[in-house]
Amino acid sequence: MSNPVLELRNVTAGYTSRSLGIFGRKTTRRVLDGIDLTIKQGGIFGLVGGSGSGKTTLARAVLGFIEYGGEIFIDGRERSSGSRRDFARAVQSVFQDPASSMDPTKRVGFLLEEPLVIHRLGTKAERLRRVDEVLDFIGFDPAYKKRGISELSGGQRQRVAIGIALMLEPKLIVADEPVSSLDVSVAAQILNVLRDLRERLGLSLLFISHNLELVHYLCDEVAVLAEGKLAADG
Amino acid sequence: MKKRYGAEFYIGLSIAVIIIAVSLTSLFYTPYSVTEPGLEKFQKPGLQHLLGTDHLGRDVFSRVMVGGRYSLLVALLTVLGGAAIGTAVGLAAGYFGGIFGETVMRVMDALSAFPGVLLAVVAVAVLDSRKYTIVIALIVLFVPSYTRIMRSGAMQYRDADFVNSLRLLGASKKRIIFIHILPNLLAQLLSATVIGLSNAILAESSMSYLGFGIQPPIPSWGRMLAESQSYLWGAVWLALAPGIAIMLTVISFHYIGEGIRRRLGR
Repeated sequence: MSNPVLELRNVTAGYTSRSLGIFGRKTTRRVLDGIDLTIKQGGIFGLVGGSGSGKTTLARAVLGFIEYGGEIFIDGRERSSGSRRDFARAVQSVFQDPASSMDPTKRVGFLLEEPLVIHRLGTKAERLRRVDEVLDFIGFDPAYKKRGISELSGGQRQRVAIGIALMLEPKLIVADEPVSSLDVSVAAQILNVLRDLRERLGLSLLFISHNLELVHYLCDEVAVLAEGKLAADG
Repeated sequence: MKKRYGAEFYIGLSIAVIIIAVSLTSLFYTPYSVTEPGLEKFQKPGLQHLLGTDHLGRDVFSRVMVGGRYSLLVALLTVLGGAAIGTAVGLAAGYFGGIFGETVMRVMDALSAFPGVLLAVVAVAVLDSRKYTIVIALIVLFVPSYTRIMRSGAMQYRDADFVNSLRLLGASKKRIIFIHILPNLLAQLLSATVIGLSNAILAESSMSYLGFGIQPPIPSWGRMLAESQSYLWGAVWLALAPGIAIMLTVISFHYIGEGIRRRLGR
């Protein structure tokens, strides 16, 4: 039996702040409290919760942006055992706001090729071939490579963001409110692209949203996060 | 909708192009020699000598042409040097922040507080009064302003989603800073650089006026002003010629910088 793609065991996380700059007393606010969660290969797991419930903190812990207690295994490896670069080919993310999640000074082709350049994968011709494949997957003509990010609509940008996340062929994609800043018809297109990730590429997805209907539409498993604890799961 | 550059930008650009063209022409042509005296002294501006002659019998228009070349070159080197160092230091201070960022900024505060003239004296004393010693002193004076601009820009972007997305892809810090954050700040840098040129012209003129700039007999606008002060009442054109050249250059670069700033809405 294959390893789960993502496994959280008794994960806790929080934020520390000081009341008076560097001289103040440290206070720690616990945001996640004993989270256990498993996503199987090819599974789409929906995490629902209101504002401040800890959804984004959980995503940040999985992505390696914050420290946490407990254990997080991604593709069988403990998250804290490697850097973000080490895990780049295992987990990627799609952020909430497509307007801010990509460098606005760059072109689509540059941004799609960049993950391969960073990891020194393939020759230039091989990289461009992969860019065309991914463009096709997200429903763009190869000519879109030359388009500037600022020339695209919100939905198009979010598709490009998904394309960038796919370039390294990760096992898991963490999508934190990926459609909440888009209008309904565009959001539907993005949800279909996300569903295709599993059906055509066999990827696993951690889909975070405040919208229960969306989560039910897309996900096989759903858990509700409330005040840092998983309140319901099924 | 993108904002327009505005009329001032085009006025500034036209003046700057004329001044630069006239200065560059002096590379291969000046009406008279700028270093060899021999003409009749204190000739008033006229057809033969457009801006008259000075106390040693040298053509003032020719000296303004060549002086412009040196003043503009010093200003350009100053701004390029200041912008290059300030950009690298400011981006690093803004991106890494913390104690490193704070230390860098306190050093910049100290440099800003240091009197420019004193710094020029020190530079000339330490490095000898070579032709471009003044550039080093002026670069040191100009670094803090670029450092501040780039630091605040880098701070604005260091936690942006696209930067986090790049971290997740495993991009190096160098790549994030120079390939992604810097291009987002180029507009601010460009406007600051053009306005910096006008400040550098003024600073170079002040230093040359005090004798720390380009050394004689090579003319620079500041030195021409300094040399003209003894003859202010009898031969006012000696002061007006470089003075107006400085004023027009400063205004033109300022207008261009403001136009760019307005166009970019910053």
